[in-house]
Amino acid sequence: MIRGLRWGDAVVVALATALVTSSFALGYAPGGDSTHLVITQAGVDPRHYPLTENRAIRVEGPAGVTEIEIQPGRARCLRSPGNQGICEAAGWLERPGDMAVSLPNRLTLQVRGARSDFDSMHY
Amino acid sequence: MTPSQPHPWLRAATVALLLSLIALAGCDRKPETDRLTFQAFGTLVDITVYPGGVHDLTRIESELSEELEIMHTSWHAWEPGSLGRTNQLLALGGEFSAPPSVLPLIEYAQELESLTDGLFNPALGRLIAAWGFHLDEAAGPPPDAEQLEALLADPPRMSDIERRGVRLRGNHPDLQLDFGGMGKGFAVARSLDLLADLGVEHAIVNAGGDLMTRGRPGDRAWRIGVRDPLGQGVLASIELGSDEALFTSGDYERGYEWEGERIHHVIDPRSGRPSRGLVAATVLHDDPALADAAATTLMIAGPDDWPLYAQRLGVEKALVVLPDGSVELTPEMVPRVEFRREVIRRIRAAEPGVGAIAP
Repeated sequence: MIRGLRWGDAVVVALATALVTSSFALGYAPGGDSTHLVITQAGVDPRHYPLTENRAIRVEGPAGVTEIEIQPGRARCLRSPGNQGICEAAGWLERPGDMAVSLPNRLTLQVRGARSDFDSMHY
Repeated sequence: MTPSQPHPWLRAATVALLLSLIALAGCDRKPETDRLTFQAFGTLVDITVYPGGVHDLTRIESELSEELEIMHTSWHAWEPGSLGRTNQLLALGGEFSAPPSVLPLIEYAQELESLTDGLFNPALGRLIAAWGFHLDEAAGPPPDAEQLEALLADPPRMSDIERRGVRLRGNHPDLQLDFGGMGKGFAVARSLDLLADLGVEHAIVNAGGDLMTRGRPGDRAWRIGVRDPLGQGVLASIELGSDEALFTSGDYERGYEWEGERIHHVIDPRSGRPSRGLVAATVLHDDPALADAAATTLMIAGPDDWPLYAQRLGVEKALVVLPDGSVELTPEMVPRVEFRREVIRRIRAAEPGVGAIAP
């Protein structure tokens, strides 16, 4: 033991060190890359899906079923009701802010990151 | 060292502890903004409010939905409502009192039709209907040559509506109003006013991709992504301050395929057919109704004349996308847009003196 330092002081030092380390771990979140897909649909709470593994999602809407495909780092509207193909035409959504819309099924698909690039999308 | 003095290590640990507590206090886990999405006004409405975590989102959605549905019903071009009744009375030719919800749109549309030499003409509801756009899901068949000739022989204009205060009279039997090219602008403005009544000072109202801002998210500008009309992803980003409206009219918005041809909803009153030459026209202005109507007008004006009509409408900031993917924009729009992909761009302005409206 260092001269003049009691065992209680060592406990306080250890606790303080642990607290500082954990505050960084909790408070620091790197921004940038797309991390999850948010599906919003009128009248339903937004649903979040991580873009970490392959996944197929079917969303029932007033006009039928919208099929969504997720791959690591990206997602797309595979099939959706409507004769204009607007949802499918958005292609792969890869960057934070990328968005696809199905008006017949009243839903939006938007890729978001730890920090979103945009406050709103104009289209 | 006297026994009453703390050990330097202990002092250091205490300071570290305090600093870490301050750091943790600064870790505000509340989102910077809140967003809510719902269906109203026949489209998806996306509201962004600042700061996050403090507003009653349920109440905001409820009140805005209700107000937007009232406006949607009032201004609907082919379902029963105030505009439907107005159209019936205009066709009869007698004098009547205009519904208060419709009168401001008529007044503004008359002004805009005059400024655009009739390129923006909401009196052509019959022509729009003939192309199959007065259906929830637009569908053909398109009008044949004979039908088009009849519709264009003596087309109604906004000036065929005689106005004395709130009293109106229709002077053309084919007059049928369709405010699809400007109603959303009015609705967005009203929504922002309603948000202010609900105590929201900083917000974006986005109705089907067209939007307007009010206030600011703290000490920064609103960041808006502009979706590429010709493909996937983001074409550009634009930073907006308070009270700025961004509206686009594009050939991809409403339409259908007919015998291999894409039929879209922006109809050129000169040809009676869907406009040609531009994929999309975007207008940035502080008046959302003007931005909405101007975007439609620029689409109709086409690649040669859009700068002229932008000038006539007092629009300084505009951008158009051509079918080859290149972009043309006004000089005032250049500093506002940051492109996110390589794009061929040209700066266009109306020739001095050409098309200026005489005072």
